[in-house]
Amino acid sequence: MSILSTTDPVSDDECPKKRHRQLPSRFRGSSLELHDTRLRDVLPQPPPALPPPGMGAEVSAPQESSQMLSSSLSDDQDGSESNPSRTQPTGLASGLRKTLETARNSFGLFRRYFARRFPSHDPESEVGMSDLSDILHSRTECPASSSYDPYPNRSAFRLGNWYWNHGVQKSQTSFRELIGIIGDVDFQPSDVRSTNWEKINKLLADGGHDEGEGKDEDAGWKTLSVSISVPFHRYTSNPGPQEYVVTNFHHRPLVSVIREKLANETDAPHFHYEPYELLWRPSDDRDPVRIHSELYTSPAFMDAHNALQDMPGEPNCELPRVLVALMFWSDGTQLTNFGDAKLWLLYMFFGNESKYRRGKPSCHLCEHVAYFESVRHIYKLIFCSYCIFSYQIPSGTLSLHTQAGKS
Amino acid sequence: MAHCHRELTHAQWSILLDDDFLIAYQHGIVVKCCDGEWRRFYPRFFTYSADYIEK
Repeated sequence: MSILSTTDPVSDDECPKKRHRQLPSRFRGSSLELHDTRLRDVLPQPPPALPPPGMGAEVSAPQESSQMLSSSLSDDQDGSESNPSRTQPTGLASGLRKTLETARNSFGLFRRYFARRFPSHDPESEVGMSDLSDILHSRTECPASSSYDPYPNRSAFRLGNWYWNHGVQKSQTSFRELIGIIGDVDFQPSDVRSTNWEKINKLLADGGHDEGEGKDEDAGWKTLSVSISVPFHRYTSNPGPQEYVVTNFHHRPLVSVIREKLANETDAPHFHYEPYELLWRPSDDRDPVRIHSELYTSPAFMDAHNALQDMPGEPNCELPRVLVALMFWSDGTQLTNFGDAKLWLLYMFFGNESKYRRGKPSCHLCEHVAYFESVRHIYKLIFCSYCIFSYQIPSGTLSLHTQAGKS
Repeated sequence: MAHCHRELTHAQWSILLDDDFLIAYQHGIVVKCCDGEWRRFYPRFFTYSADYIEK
């Protein structure tokens, strides 16, 4: 009992009496002010907007240390290129380029262009709050009814999903899942009453139902055969180089991919035609700091863009020259858990688009360009012909050699 | 085998980099953009991230 008596005060401590606590008076007022302004919660902002068109020349802020400008002017001018505000034509279309800066946004970020005027097309103005922050986005995300296609609604989709994807045998688990679906508050019996299940299942089986990225999958694809020359050493019965042909090289011509991209009305507003430098200057008395962010704000893009502007253009062509930044990815993809079905894909992204949009699969910005054929497909062929000419082999050896081909 | 891998990869890339692409690379392609302006586009390679398929 003595133990009990000693534990009593402890339990009292754990459950203290309720006390009426009030916030200190400075926190009670409606106009709450933080003692440290750095702790303010500031919503993300896009880079600062461009000035309205036509104002480019007035807003230009010539920089005395403009390397691009001096290099483009120094070709046919004397050493006085430190005065970049002059606008004499230099024979090149790029000779009139100036350093143009936008105003700073609340984070001290601003954009610096090297161009004649600010671009007429500003992808940053298309950036909304949902692109900058995923907090707001996740709340409002609600799939449209068409996203359950070919099922007419969510209830029908969940039933169909249960039927096809949750095992072929009845089990306690699948029964509970079924109860979970039809017991859900969102489940509407009226939704599934008129569903034409036979038609939907037939659509699924035919694979004729294309949606989203699967749509137009065949458009623009070409299949060509590739031939390579394989040398055979002199101890084979048929020495010398021999042609081997791989017939199924699926690919899309790069030019048509680019043309398709540029004509795409969904992506065009977000496509950057001109690079710029993104800089950060928290206050007027500090030097601006270059921000590493996108490909179209990188020195590599800027250098390539300037080289493009400086090169002699096409005759009788005054169109603005724009760089299309191609970024390739390629890797082998295992198609099945068992067996060696494999594809070697080549993907392409456009560096003119924001990496945040490229990273979203829902934006469909990844282009499939080619399916590389692997030598493994012709390995067997080569090996067989090799063996026929030289000597007879036991059947087991062939599988051994295809294993070697894999490695 | 390495020779075949390399030959095949290069043969396939030479199909991808066809004459149309080389002309576009040198002289650009003129496209009317969705904002109604005509521009001349020059494709350039920036990254190629890949496993070494030739091996």
